[in-house]
Amino acid sequence: MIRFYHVTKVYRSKSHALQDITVTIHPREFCFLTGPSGAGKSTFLKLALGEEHPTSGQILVTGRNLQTISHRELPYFKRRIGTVFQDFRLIPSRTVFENVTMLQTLQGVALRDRRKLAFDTLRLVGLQNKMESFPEELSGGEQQRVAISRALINKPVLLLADEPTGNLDPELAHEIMRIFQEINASGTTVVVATHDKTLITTFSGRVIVLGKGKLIDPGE
Amino acid sequence: MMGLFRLILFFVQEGFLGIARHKTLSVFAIFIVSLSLYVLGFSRYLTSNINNLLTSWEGQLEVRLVMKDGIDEEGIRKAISILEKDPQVESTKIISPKEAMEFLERLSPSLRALSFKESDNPLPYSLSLTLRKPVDVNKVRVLIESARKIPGVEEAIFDWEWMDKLKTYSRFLAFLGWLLFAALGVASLFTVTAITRILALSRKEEIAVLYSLGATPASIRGPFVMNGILIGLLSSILALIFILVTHLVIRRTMGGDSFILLLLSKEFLTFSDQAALVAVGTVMGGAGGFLSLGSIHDWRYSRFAG
Ligand SMILES: Nc1ncnc2c1ncn2[C@@H]1O[C@H](COP(=O)(O)OP(=O)(O)OP(=O)(O)O)[C@@H](O)[C@H]1O
Ligand SMILES: [Mg+2]
Repeated sequence: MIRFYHVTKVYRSKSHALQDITVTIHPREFCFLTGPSGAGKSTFLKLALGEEHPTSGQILVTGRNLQTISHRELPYFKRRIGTVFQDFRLIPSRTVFENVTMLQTLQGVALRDRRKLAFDTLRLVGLQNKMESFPEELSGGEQQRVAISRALINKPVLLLADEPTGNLDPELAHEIMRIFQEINASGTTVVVATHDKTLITTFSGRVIVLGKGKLIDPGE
Repeated sequence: MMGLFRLILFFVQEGFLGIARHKTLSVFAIFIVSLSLYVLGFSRYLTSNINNLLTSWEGQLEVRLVMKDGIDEEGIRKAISILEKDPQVESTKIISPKEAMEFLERLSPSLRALSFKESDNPLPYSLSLTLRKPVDVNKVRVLIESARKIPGVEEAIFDWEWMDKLKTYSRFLAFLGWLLFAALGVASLFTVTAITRILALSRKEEIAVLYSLGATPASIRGPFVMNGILIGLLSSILALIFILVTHLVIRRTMGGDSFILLLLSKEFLTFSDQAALVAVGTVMGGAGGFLSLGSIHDWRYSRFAG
C-alpha cells in the first residue's frame, strides 16, 4: 500500500527530516508511526500524500509512483486517501456540515445525499448535532473530530492520521481508535502517527519507530 | 449531468457570495468593466445608425440626366430607349420643368416668392434613372460616360463621392471604437483579474485545504471564474442601460434641435448587438476570473504553511 525506498527529505538545505527510509506498509495493515517530536512523522505522511516531494528516493502509494504522478492526476490520487492533518485544516468560514462535505459539493453530489453522508460520518465521532456550528465555536477536540469525520466520509482505501487524538481526553481517544480499527477491519489501510505510548500499548498494530529522521524500528 | 448542474449552481452561489463579501471592490470592478463595454457598445450604436442611414440613402441613389434646352418628347423617348438597354438601369422617369420647380419650391419655400411663370421656367427637362441594386460604382461611371454621348443629353450627374466619404468615416469610427475598447478591455481584464485575486487571497487557506483534500483545480477555480462572469454580466447590463439612457437623452432633448443627431440616434442597438455586448462582457469577466489564480498547484498548503 505504501512503499518508501531509500527516501530522504531535506527541507530547504537544513537538517534531514527523513534520512534513507526504506519501509513497506501492506494493504489492510494497521500501523502506528511513532517517535519523539521532530522525528519526521508528519513529513512521512506528507510525502505519502504527495504534499511534499522527497529529496531523493522513490515512493509508491496505492500502486502509484509519486515521482511520475502529474499535477492533473494528483487530486484523483488524493481523493482515495483519507487524511487527518495535525493542524486539522478546517475552513473557518464554513460550517461543520460544509467542511465535512466540501469535496462532495465540488463533485456535484446532491444536498440530500451530502446531508446523509455528513450525518453518518459525524455520528461516528458524536458530533451529529454540531452540523451548523462554525469551527471557532468548537473546542480543539471537537475540531479534531470534525477533521476525522471528513477523512472518513468517502470510505478511503488508505487513512493517514497525524496525531488524530492529540487534543482528546483518553476516553475519546480510545473511542476514535476503535472507530479506526472498525474501518481497518472493513478493508482500509490505516496509518496513525502518534507519540502517545498508552495508545500504542492499548491497541494492537504494527509500530514503526522513527527517531531524528531515521528508521529505528520497522516493526515487522 | 444533474451533478454538473448542481456544481454550476454552487459556483454561482459562491460567485455572488464573493461579490457580497467584497462590495466596494466589486462595484469598482463593475464600474471599470462597464465603462469599456459602454465605449464598445456606443461606437457600435453610432456606426450601425450611420450604416443604416447609408443603406437607405444608397437605395435612393439615382443618376440624373439633364436634357438639352428645347428637346422635344420624341428626343426624350429616343434617349430613354437607349438607356433602358443598359443593365445598370432599373427604371427611368421623366421630370418635367414644372415638376422640378415644384420640388425645388417644396425644398426651399423662399423660391416661391420669385414665382416664375410657367412659360419662363428656367429649368430643363431631366431624366431620373433608378439603379439596379447592389450599386456598382465603376459600372455606373461607365454608364454615365456613355449617357453623356446620347443625343439630347446635356449633363449626367451622379452624387457618389460624399457617400463614399461617409462610408470611410463610418469604418474609421468603428475602428476607433474597437481600438478604444481594446485599450480599455485590457484595463478591465486586468481589473477583474486583480480584484478576483484579492478575493482569492482572502480565501487562500480554503483553496489550499480543498487542494490538499483532492479537489480538482477546475472545481477550485469555479467560484472565482463565476465571480468574474457575474462581474462581466452585471457590467454589460449596466453598460446597456447607460447606452439606452444616452440614446433617449439624445432623442428627447438634443434631437429636436439637430437633424443629424436625430438621424444618428434613430435605432437602439439590435437584439443581437445587445446579446453580443453581454457575451463580450461575460467572456471578459470569466477570463479575468480564470487568469486570477494562475496554477492552483502554486496555492498548495506547503507554500504558505510550510
Ligand atoms: N515545512 C518545513 N520546513 C522546514 N523544516 C520542516 C518543515 N516541516 C518540518 N520540518 C522539520 O523537519 C523535521 C521533522 O518534522 P516533522 O513535522 O515531520 O516531525 P514530527 O515527527 O511530525 O513532529 P511532531 O511530533 O512534533 O509533530 C523537524 O526538525 C522540523 O523542524
Ligand atoms: Mg507531526
